Amino acid sequence: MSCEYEDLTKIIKARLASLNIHISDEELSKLSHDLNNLLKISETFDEIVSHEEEPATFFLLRVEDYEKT
Amino acid sequence: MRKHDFLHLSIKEVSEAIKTGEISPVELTTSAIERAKRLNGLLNAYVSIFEHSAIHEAAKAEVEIRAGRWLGPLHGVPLSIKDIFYVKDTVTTAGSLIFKDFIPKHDASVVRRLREVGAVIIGKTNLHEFAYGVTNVNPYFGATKNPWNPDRITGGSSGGSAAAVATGMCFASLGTDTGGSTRIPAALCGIIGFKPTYGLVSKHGVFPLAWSLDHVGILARSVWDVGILLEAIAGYDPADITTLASKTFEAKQIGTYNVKRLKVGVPDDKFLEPLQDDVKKLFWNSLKKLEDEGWQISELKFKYFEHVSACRYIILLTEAASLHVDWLKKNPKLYSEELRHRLMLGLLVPPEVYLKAQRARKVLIREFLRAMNGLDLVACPTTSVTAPRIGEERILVNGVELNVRLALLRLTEPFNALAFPAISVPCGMSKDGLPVGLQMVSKPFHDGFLLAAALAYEEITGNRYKIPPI
Repeated sequence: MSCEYEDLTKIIKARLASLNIHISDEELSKLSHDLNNLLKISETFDEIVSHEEEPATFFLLRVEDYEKT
Repeated sequence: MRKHDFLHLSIKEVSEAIKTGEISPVELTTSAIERAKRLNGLLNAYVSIFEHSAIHEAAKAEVEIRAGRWLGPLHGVPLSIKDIFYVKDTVTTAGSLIFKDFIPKHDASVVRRLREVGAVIIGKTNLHEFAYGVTNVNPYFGATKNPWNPDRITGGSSGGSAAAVATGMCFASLGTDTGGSTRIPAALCGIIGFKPTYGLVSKHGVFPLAWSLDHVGILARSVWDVGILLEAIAGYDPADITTLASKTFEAKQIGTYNVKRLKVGVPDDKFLEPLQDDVKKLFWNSLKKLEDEGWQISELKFKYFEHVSACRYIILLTEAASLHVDWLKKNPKLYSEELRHRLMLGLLVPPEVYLKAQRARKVLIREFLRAMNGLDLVACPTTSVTAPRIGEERILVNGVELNVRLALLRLTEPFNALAFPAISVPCGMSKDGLPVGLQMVSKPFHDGFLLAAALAYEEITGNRYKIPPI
């Protein structure tokens, strides 16, 4: 998931432009910073999902999930 | 007792007075509305007050009760509703400009259920813009002010509800809770805030923030009152697929649990710190009182709080953005700058990151249940700090500078991602006269047990709702 900061700003610009959302350079810089942090945080999920005990099912809270533990 | 004195009673107490005819629902509702109108200029708790319809509902309740058709402890009792719940034929703003003229054609399921048991809806309360924030400083409707000190925030996003309940402008209120939005303002205003297990209460007709994290919450002045409201609103709703057919709730359950010598896990300092000195002292003082009564306090062995919070953060950003994308494209200026930024950030989250957060969440729920093996409850302060000043963005907490948002929600947000039931109860007053909250968490669908434990806590510690000096 990691990518260079400059690549990230290009991706952000392109993604928002595709939604017809236009932002200032200042907003772009802030979004790049926050997205970069977010992607770093998300890397910690790899270790957690490696503890899945069975093939993953889509998230839906069910009583059985609590009661079988 | 003068009629205004009734306004600070609990629902349990006032409903007896209604049932026996000691006070009439019309008198009570008129008094609550008068008080709301008088205090609202100072606190900005309500965005709308339904004077005409509330008196009409109260008069109907009065006739029914006099005719012997008492519907239960909410019959004729004035309540308020956060302005994010649909209330038929009334403006529901969700604290936003986008919905400033939106009038739903139906009640939210929980509002309908409250009406079915005779509750009187007296108004809609102020909130953080789209419930996406925890200060209740709303850019369009103004900040709600803390009844203990109007220079301070109430916390949010259900801050109007907390201020209204704390000051006797209503007897209880419905809020929402996606990261602590019921528990945080309850703690900062000195009342009780309860978030049930995900799936126990319908969210149909509640404008969403993030579907898989959103909960309906209850703000009240006593634990019994929480139970009374929960009985009215809990249970399966065909209009909300996340509600569970097998799960209901009866308030009388609260009295049936054995809550002696409970085993309480307290997270380690890595999660708890930094805490304001007063918050820390009052929290541990309360636990000491419980320990003196035979409760067993031990350290909770759970090393993943940071991961749980990270999951919630990514899920919140993504779900909220997906909901708002069309409005954001058409009317970006109708959002505050802060909210627009968060929504745009959510639009940038790669789908695999969102889905991985949801997969991780399942593992973390399992791990948290394992950590609770042998424990009845988990306890921690509700917030790291007492109510910050209005407009304050950063706050020094025991030598560590924190963003106010983080200082308020970091101890509550994990339990939204985990979906466990959680309650904030009063824990005393700081040296500068501000309330502190203590949060208790139990296992999923042990909501009745959690309320029983909270009631025992109230009785042992003597920490209860106090009337603010306003």
